[in-house]
Amino acid sequence: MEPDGHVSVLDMREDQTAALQHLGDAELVERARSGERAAFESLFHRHQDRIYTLALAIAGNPSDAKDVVQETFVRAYKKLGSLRGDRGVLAYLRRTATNAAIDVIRARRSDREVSLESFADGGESIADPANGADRFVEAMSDSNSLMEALLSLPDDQRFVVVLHHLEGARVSEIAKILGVPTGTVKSRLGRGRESLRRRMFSEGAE
Amino acid sequence: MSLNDPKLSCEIVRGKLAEADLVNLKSGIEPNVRAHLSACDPCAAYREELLKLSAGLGGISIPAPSELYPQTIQALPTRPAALTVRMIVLLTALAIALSVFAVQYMAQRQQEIETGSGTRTLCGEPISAITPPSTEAYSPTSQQEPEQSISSLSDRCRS
Repeated sequence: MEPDGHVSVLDMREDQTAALQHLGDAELVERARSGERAAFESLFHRHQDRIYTLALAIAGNPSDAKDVVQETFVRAYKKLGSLRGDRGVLAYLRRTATNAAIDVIRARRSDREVSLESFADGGESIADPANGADRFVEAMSDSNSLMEALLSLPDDQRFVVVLHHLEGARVSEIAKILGVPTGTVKSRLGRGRESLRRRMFSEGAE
Repeated sequence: MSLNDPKLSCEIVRGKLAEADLVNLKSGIEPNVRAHLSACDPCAAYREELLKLSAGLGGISIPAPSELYPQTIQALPTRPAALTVRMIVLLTALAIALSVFAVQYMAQRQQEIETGSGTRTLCGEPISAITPPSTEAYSPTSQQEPEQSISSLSDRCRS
């Protein structure tokens, strides 16, 4: 609602969009394909948080994440003709967002002239996890703390952790995407997980 | 130290766990690592924490900023490109179909005219068989009115 009490076009659209929320992705795509814009907006509402979370986790900052989400949905809108099924829509959105976020990272990396292999395999000592397990669990249930911890990781480690845990990609698949040996992926995954575990554990224990 | 060494150190076990594929971390741990975990509570706890971390990462959800909706909606093209392409294809197909139909119809008509099989009829009689009213009927000296000529033709139809 606008300040003068009038209902804006966007508000009306949001009402239409809410009315379509009970429909499945496939039907929304079908309706959007036939020109019903509110159906696509409903898809946007349904998946925006998941795609934003993924984009933020890979790209590493809110500004780039917003660009990635916008680009992802605009691409999806243009590709409506080829989107299929209830599972296909989210899979397409996730794949597109991941690729767009990777592009952001690569562009940023080339700006900084930092090589993919520049992070040394530093062996960190392992903390004893025997204490404060309950607090650790509490911290794990807080998405913001977890995202903050993720964003504190170096790009390479974060990227591997996100692809593995948020996207469900296997180590061999990540190795293919990055063009690095599986051993490198495992190493980054190990260091990333260990950093997260330490951070979440120590924050929870404070 | 060999990977098959039954007596692995905590550091090696935790390193293996941290680097393990999630599926392996859950269920596919090597026998020697499993043996170590069953005897070492801190390492077993370490594995549990990694599993909890995995679950937390899998369920992570950050709300998209509110401004993202209007920005994205404004950035959408006015009509889906796929729909436009589909419409162009449909219209082109329709135009081609109409052209083919028109050409076939014209060819058929031409053939009918040439063979005489498609002679136009009026009141069941070929038009060529109907004798047009005499032009003399329109002669200023004629007593017959032009309307009468036309009405006589209509009479033939009725009969």
